[in-house]
Amino acid sequence: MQNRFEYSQDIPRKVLDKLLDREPLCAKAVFETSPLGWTREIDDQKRPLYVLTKHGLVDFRLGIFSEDEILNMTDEIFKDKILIQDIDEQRRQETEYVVERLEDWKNRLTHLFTEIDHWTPQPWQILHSQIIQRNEELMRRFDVAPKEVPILTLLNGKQRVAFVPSALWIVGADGRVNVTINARQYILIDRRDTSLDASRWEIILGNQRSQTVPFTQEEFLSLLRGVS
Amino acid sequence: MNDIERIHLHYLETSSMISAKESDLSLSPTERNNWAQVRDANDQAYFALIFAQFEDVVNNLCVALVRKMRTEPQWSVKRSWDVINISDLDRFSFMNRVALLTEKGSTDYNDVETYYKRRCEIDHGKAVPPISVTTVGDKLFDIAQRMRKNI
Repeated sequence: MQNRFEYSQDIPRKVLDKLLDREPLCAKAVFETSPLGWTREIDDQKRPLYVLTKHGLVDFRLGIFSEDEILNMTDEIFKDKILIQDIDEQRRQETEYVVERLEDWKNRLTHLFTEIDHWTPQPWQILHSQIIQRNEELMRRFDVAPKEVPILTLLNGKQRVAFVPSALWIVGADGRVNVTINARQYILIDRRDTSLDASRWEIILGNQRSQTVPFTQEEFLSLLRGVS
Repeated sequence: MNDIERIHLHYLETSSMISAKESDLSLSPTERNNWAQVRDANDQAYFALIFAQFEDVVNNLCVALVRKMRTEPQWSVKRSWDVINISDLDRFSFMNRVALLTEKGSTDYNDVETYYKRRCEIDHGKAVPPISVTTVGDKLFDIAQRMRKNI
């Protein structure tokens, strides 16, 4: 597949000829095969600017060039300018993805803990609070600071059950929560297939080979009865 | 995968001890992060042990497959298997051995490839994300069962 180029009608002929010559350079500089478009804008001093965009979206600007740059810049500098912009754009999109996944993680946890809250019988006392999440590798790589995530604690006299989020990015699951039931530890994992699916929480009991079971109200109450 | 249950039980014991520290809210976020890293190392070590069990199964199944195919009555079927030296099976790359047991490009093949890449990253000291050892172990066990049926 090759990059497809589109040019706005108001680009003068001599500039257009130069841009057509440089199509292979632009194609080499961008990471993915995508529709690329050249448009003409006017700056504050009424001078024309030529803007290269990806996917036809004004947000994805890969380069802004003056007419002089288009006509006289060396091929190497021209290509580097697009390449650097594309790296920045890729990083921006990936950072956005990390932020979205963290927001989704927080929402899934809130939903899970609300559900457990509804399942919890009397006389257990329910405490919702927050902790600073773990600074995971993807967060460090994209400079996304850890934020608060919910935790849930259930108290009944001296008995204590705590649900504390552990990590989001895990091989084999889409998030892990540590569950402490008095001194015993269990692991809750989201086994949904894709990030578009609803959560499929399962708990690792570890007392048989088929070690995970769906985390249902019945399973939760059975664990709770174990401590009562 | 004879030892998988024993390995998994050991994993759960060590993982529980680390989880207790990782979830201890009286510790500072830095201390809890440190325990999370201990847990990552623990996950990686047990994942490597479980994957080694799976590799052993793949090797044994490949030997069984070659032996079985050599007994095929039709020469047109058995001729290509006759030239494979069983003692040289490890000259095939691991993923090629997997491809003898499950269709290349299938979900099982792709899952094994993903885990194999993780195992190689661990071998070469690269950073890998935390691993849900239980689910990966379960999945490899199920894949091994299906591979057995493919022989």
